Amino acid sequence: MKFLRVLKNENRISSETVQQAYYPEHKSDFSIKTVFSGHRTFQLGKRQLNLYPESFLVIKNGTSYSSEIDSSVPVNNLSISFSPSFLQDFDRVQKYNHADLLDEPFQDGDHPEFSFMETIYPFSGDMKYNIMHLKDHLEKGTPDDLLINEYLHHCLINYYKVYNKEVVDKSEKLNFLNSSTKVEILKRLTLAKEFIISNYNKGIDLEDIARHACLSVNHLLRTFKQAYGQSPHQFLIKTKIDRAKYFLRNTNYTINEIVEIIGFECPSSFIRLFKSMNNITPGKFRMYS
Amino acid sequence: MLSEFYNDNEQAEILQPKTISLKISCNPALTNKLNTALRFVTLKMGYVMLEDFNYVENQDQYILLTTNRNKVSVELNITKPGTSSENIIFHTDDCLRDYHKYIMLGVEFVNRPEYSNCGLQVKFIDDHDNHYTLLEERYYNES
Repeated sequence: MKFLRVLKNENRISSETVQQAYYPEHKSDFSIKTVFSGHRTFQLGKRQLNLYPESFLVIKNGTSYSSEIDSSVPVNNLSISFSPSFLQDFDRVQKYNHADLLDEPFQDGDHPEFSFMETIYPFSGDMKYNIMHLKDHLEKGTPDDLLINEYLHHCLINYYKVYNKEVVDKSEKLNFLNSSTKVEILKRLTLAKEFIISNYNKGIDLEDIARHACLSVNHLLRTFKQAYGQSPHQFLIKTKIDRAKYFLRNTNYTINEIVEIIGFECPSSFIRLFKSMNNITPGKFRMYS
Repeated sequence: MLSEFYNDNEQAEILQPKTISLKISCNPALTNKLNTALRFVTLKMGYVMLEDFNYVENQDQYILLTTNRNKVSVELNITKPGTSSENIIFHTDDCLRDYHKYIMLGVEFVNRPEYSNCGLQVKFIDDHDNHYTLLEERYYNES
């Protein structure tokens, strides 16, 4: 199903299912991108990101980007674009108390940009529940803008929570006194994570990841562990296993095919690792999913 | 645009009413409030009871209600003492949808939907001062 819904307040939600598509470079409002099958490749300046169903992508207001879908399976994707006024109003409600909001209900003049880190975040929990409900309503053609805006409001609430967990909490774990150093290190670690998620099945090694993040290998190892509580290699393995779970739940691929797709050496080592991480074999996981 | 799809769906629903399930849980101490709660469900929330309801202790019970378009099977779940809140709980699979729907019907909510460890919930009250929680249980440990 393909749709484009533009609300009165200029929030926009679009969705389509395609196997091949190219979306030329353009600027958009602050937006959240998801895919529910296959993957979509985004080019943000020099950064190339592959978006899979386990993640969502946040693009900041004014960022210029292009994207492409080239897949052997249909790729169902959904984009939510928030109007600057909706975003600023949400931001004010989060920051100010009721008395201040009553005194000054409408903002005037320029206000600071609603700024968050433009990257891939885990698509799970409340964020996923909320977007799945929203998608369901849009596919059924719910005509009520108020209801759709309620879901969009909760998308932002959930994004705040994810951002705090994935960025604010992680930066506090970094052992640097200088906050600007923390911010810079976290930006580079984010590049490392993006690179791992986008290239999880391409035989990347630690040197590739470090080079992409502009960090030395030792610096990457030390800071990645501090922030995320696991090594880059452990994160890579977890990403592969999460992808395998997706294929086990949602496709009929054999274990051997999944092992090949996720770039594992052999089925036996995959099954052993899967079982040690999830206390269940891939076969049983598929059966119970 | 969506309007044409919506019309198709509306038509389909009218021709083929679907049964949806509404589950209500409450503490045994609140069972005497169930009759007023059910009156509220029918008068305020637009449901019609298709059969009389008499609470029988320690027994799973189902009540059949209907709306204009849907038959609603209501599962009544009396929880074990000490394990539940002081509110009568309406279980839903989409809290925001029902919150929005009940606001349109004039239900008085005491807060905005908020997140808890077990999901998304919002509280409302009726004219008899019965307290309700509209709860969408969510399972967060799936990865």
